[in-house]
Amino acid sequence: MSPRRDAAVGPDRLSALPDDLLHLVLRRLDSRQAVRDLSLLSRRWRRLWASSPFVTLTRSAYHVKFGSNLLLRRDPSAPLRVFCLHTLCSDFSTHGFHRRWLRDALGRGSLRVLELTLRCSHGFELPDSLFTCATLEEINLSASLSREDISPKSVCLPRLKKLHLEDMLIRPSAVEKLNSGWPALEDLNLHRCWLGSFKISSETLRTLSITDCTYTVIKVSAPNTSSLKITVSGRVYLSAMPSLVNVWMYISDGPPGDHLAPSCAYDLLATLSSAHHIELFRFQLLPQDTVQKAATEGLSFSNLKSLYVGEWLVTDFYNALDFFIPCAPNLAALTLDQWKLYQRHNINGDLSSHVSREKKPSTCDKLKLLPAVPRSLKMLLIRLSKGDDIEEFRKMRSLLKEKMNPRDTEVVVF
Amino acid sequence: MASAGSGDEKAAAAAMITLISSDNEKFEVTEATATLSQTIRHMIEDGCTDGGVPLPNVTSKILARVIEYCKKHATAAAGEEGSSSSFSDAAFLEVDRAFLEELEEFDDAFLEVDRATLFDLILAANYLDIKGLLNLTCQKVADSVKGKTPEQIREMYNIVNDLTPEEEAEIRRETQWAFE
Repeated sequence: MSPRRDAAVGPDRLSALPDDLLHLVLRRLDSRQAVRDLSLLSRRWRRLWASSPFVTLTRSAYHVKFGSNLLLRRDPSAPLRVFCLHTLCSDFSTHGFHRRWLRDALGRGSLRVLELTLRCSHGFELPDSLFTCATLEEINLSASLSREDISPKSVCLPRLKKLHLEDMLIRPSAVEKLNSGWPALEDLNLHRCWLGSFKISSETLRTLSITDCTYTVIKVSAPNTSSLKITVSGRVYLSAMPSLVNVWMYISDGPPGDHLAPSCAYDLLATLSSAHHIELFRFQLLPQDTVQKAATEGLSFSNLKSLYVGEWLVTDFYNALDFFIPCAPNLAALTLDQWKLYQRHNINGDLSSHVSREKKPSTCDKLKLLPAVPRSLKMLLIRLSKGDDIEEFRKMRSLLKEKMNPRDTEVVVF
Repeated sequence: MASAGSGDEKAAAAAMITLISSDNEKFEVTEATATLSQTIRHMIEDGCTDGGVPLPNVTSKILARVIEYCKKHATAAAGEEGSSSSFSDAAFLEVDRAFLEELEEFDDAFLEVDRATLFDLILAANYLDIKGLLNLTCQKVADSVKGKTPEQIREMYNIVNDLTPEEEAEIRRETQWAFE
């Protein structure tokens, strides 16, 4: 049928690649093309799809039958390492298939990476075997249409290093089980999850990210964390993180006096004090007496090299400057920015729903009293909304010049 | 806005590693650049890089390209190690974005190579265990195959069809389920 080619045309470098590299190529193609078309290339290619350790099933018209066949007909002696399922459960029968595939993948005793994207209008009900799969090293779960419950009977994930959850609801009964069931966890990322009263206790954790989640309390004891990202919207109790390098922290408006209870706020600052790079949004929401207390008690940010402060108004920056300038002797780069808040909240000029424009008394004078820093700043970057108070900004800038003597200054007005 | 130059100053003081290609050419690179390769990272950790690291599977032509890739991506990964002048760190996400775009452009331009070089790069990335480069090059191959018929793919990559008509019919029967 197809004309035979003369080998003299050139070497076939593609077919000469070892199987594991060809599998990496197949993984990046539609599974259907891999099975249907590539198996017809030559003998070398005939069963390549069947021995691939990667299986990705994405919702499409041929989805259900294809998925079942693919799992059934792949080479049973080839270990399944990575299983990705992107579902859109329109009805209960597809839902049943998806759950069966997932249990099948988990039950093969070789799965290392699981990626699950659920778009179900009703609960998918994660199988219990997901939480007791001893081979799993990485789990990515994301639900979108409805929140998915995490309420396993038991948790035993001895090799799990990375867990990313999005739009999940972690039941109170699961919290202790998770903490004792992930002894090797290094990277935990919770995004838009419902956590209730949550706790993290881990000696192995290095990267922790809790963003846009709903919770009342989070208690974290993870002393080896080097990278922390957190939206503070409930009470957060952090214990010491001496190896902290990067921090991103966003302080949400919330019921005043609740999530920013002075004891929490003090601990937040104390934990941050070992960091090298801090990106901090809305520092001015922290209760100022706590900030003062931290300052007078001599809390020092001696590792801090770069500091980003995001606030809505020029006058809001003073609190952060007042606090950090005296206690961060090694600061080299300082950014004062309004732009990212505007971006995050999709604002075009009108701030009224986020911040009151009423003129607060300027606390600029306090800044004047600070001594100039002994080592000058390398870089000062300021991004300012053109709607803001330019007079106040000029005052702040000249003070910063005087106190910090920046080598380079860049001002962007947007 | 972001200056990559200050990274080099810093690098001068950092430890240097000598890589030796199959045709005996020597390349001096910083440890930060070299350790994008897990293979080399392990050798450094084991303390067996004195006198250079021989890479008998990689020619000087390919090694030069691989180093070009690693240099660019090592600057991207920097910051964590605390060079205060590196604007790719957490505090400058906006600059980050510009840098990521630049990195993407670099990657695109980097992949503008003939097929033979592309396969050499895949093999080198695999041998040196450089995940980013392996992903990048495999994606390039996958993209070239995407949506093409078997005949087009054979032609593109000089694949000899050694299937008999009977075998072909058999494969079609075997994979009938994927056509439905």
